[in-house]
Amino acid sequence: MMVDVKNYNKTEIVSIGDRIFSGKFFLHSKFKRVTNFTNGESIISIVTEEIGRGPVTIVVEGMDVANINDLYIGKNFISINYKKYPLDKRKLFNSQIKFRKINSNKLEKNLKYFEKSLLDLSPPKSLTFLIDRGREKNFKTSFEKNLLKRTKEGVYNIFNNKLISGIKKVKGIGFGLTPSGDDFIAGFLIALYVIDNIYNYDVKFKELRETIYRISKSENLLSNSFLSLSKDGFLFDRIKKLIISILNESEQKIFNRTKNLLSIGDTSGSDLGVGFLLTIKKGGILCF
Amino acid sequence: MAIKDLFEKELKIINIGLFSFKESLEEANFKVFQVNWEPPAGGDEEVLDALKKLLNS
Amino acid sequence: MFLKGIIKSGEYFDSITLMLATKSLTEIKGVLEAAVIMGTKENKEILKASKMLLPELESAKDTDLLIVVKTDNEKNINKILKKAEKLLEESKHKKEENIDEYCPKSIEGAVKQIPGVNLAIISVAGKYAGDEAMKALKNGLHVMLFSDNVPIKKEIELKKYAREKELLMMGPDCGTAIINGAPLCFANVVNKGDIGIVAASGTGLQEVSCIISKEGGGISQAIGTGGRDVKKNVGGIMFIEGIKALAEDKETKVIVLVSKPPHKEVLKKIAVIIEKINKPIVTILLGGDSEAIKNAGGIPAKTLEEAALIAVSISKGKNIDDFKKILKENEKEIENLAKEEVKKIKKGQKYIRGLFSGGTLCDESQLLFKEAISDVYSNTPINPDFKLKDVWKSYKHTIIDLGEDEFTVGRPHPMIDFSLRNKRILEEVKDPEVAVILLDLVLGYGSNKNPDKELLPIIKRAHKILEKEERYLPIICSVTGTDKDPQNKKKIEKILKKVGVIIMKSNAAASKLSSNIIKIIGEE
Repeated sequence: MMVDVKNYNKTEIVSIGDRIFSGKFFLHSKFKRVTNFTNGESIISIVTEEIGRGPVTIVVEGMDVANINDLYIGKNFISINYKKYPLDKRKLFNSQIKFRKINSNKLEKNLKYFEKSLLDLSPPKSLTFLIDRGREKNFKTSFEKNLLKRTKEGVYNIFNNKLISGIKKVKGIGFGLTPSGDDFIAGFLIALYVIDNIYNYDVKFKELRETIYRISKSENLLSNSFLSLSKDGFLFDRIKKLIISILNESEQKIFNRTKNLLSIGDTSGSDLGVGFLLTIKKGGILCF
Repeated sequence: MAIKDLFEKELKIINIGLFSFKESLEEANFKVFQVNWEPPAGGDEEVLDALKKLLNS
Repeated sequence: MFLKGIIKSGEYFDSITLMLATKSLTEIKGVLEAAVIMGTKENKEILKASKMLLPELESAKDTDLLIVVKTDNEKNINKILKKAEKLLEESKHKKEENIDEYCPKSIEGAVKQIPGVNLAIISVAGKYAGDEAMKALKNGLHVMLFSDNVPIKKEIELKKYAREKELLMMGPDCGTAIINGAPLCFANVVNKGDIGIVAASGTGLQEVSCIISKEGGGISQAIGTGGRDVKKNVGGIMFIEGIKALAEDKETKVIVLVSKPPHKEVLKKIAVIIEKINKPIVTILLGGDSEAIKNAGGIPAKTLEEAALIAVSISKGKNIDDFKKILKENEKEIENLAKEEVKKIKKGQKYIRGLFSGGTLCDESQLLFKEAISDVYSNTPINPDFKLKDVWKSYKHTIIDLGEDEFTVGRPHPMIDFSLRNKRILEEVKDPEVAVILLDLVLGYGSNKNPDKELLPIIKRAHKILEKEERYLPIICSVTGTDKDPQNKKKIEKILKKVGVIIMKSNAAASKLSSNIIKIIGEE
């Protein structure tokens, strides 16, 4: 790896999400590699390169993300800790997939492989028990057992003509900063978006996605932001790359992209993956 | 890779089971990847069978 | 059953922190259940269904964090909650985790993800271990199979497959190996050099490799095969493959073979291959037939120590006869030391009690004792007529292996957990007919990290008992290990010597000293 000595101490914006918007923002939450800002409704995140690009994400280099306390987005600039950086259009991250023609046989094969990768890579208490019953035994405490029960009931309802009640059962439950159920729903929403696009339905599921989003909202702005972006197909880079690999690429790529998605957070990636997988599999025959 | 080839290569080890084996090798400066193996089905007590020989917590 | 919970507002913690906090809480003694979750309406409903929704938690918002614990003890519950909060606080300051630390969930996953994986160490339950080993072999990996309780049919299948694919299949029940300098499972830190070992015995491998290292030699590779390999049905498959591999290995100039006596058919095969190989091959097949080895051009040794010393002599280009002289001198020294010790021992004390953690070391000791005096009683006697009626009670001359099943059910191996042996030491010390206590102490990775701390109090107590009863009793010990081991052999020996333990430089030497003492007593 060549180190560019000129830029060694330079602080820089590496990528700007295509769904950011201007205004004054307030600190929402802080982590080692992520600092979230909000305008009261939506979220904009400032992250390190490790975390990667996303629709409402500003990727920075040379800054201590945990020490960023101030954000203002203007028409042509972004101000971080009162320092101005130009809003360089070349650094805009395109968060939407450009859909191409699909080979259904390949897609079917790739979905199987994705399922295998998910099972291979997921932590024990993720929602992968929905595709591998043996993992149910990982849920041992009474909270976990009730969580399991409720999740199973909810998912069953979702795929058996009781969509709304199913979503209500699944939202907001489980572990993690964004509860597992919300991640599942995000995967579900992304899958509907993808189905709309690969089968050229365009708007078949659009209203459904809106409805589901409305039901799934909570006071957790992080979850809401994620769900909102998911319903319209504005994807974080890791998810975008994973879906592209499932639609059209090799098994090795699928495995690597799955591993990539799952390496952030605890079970979020897996939970989203399971939601996506189950929904896509039923894609052609979904009728609500 | 035949045995004699192994002798000439850098070891890249995966450890399936007792975590202490990974720790020892890392203490000795070897890189080991832990496989978070779980039994295909069946009881936890059986997994602990190996600890008949080696138990540390 | 006691339940308590708190709401944490205004702060966010990432998912991994929350998971780790839950995990840490559940591991605390007395905690029956713990949940660290966001206070969404839905999670509260689940808490309610689990009878864990305390009234004070009902007001929690979606963005609040709930910490709920269920314990069996009222006293600790507040402390436990405080601990949870502390954990969460600390997470804010914790060092960054390597985002690339990847833990695959299966062998296949690992092989795909980690380019160049070439060795798998397997120590899961015997019931599953065989299949995992086969998966590893099928994925082109060499295997170290620590697990025991793998059916013999499976062992044969594994080894035949490995032989076909030219892979190492070390085990089942293989506790020790050193490959490319890496200490696998229980192993010591030894010098690298040109002596290669093939061993169907764990502690045998350890003793030989440590003595080689101490004497200035070094190990190229030490291949373990598991104890059953040289039996009739397995037929010595891995033993032979190991010998062949060392024969071809450029770094290996001398080969040492360590095992209990192989089945005669296996011995024949070994002899055949020894004949074909040009490199010097030293063997220590404890109690086995040395003629066949000699006739094949091998160099049979009588003890593990001797095998190590011969190998080092050859490696250094020294004359074997020279070292034979040294051995003779050592024997003289041992005799003299024995005489000194006997002077302090009271009349009526006549028996040896050997308490071993290493099976092979136990066997070697029994053989040496038998040669010098007579058969000894044991739980694993070399003479079946001398099986102890009750393994928990010594009888006359007794040398036992505390690593055997009858002592280790539901309990850690004695190389790690000294409590059973410590207890037994005190029992033997109290027996007025005991003249010598003989111990092994195996160091290295995998073994007890602080053997001195665990043994010292017992030795001191033993001395107190003996003082009170106005008796003297030599406690003789050999330490299998090196100074570079985590426990540090030099340090351990110094500490033990200080409290009066007689440290000998090998198991053979310790056994010979013991048998000499008993012999002299018997003659008086």
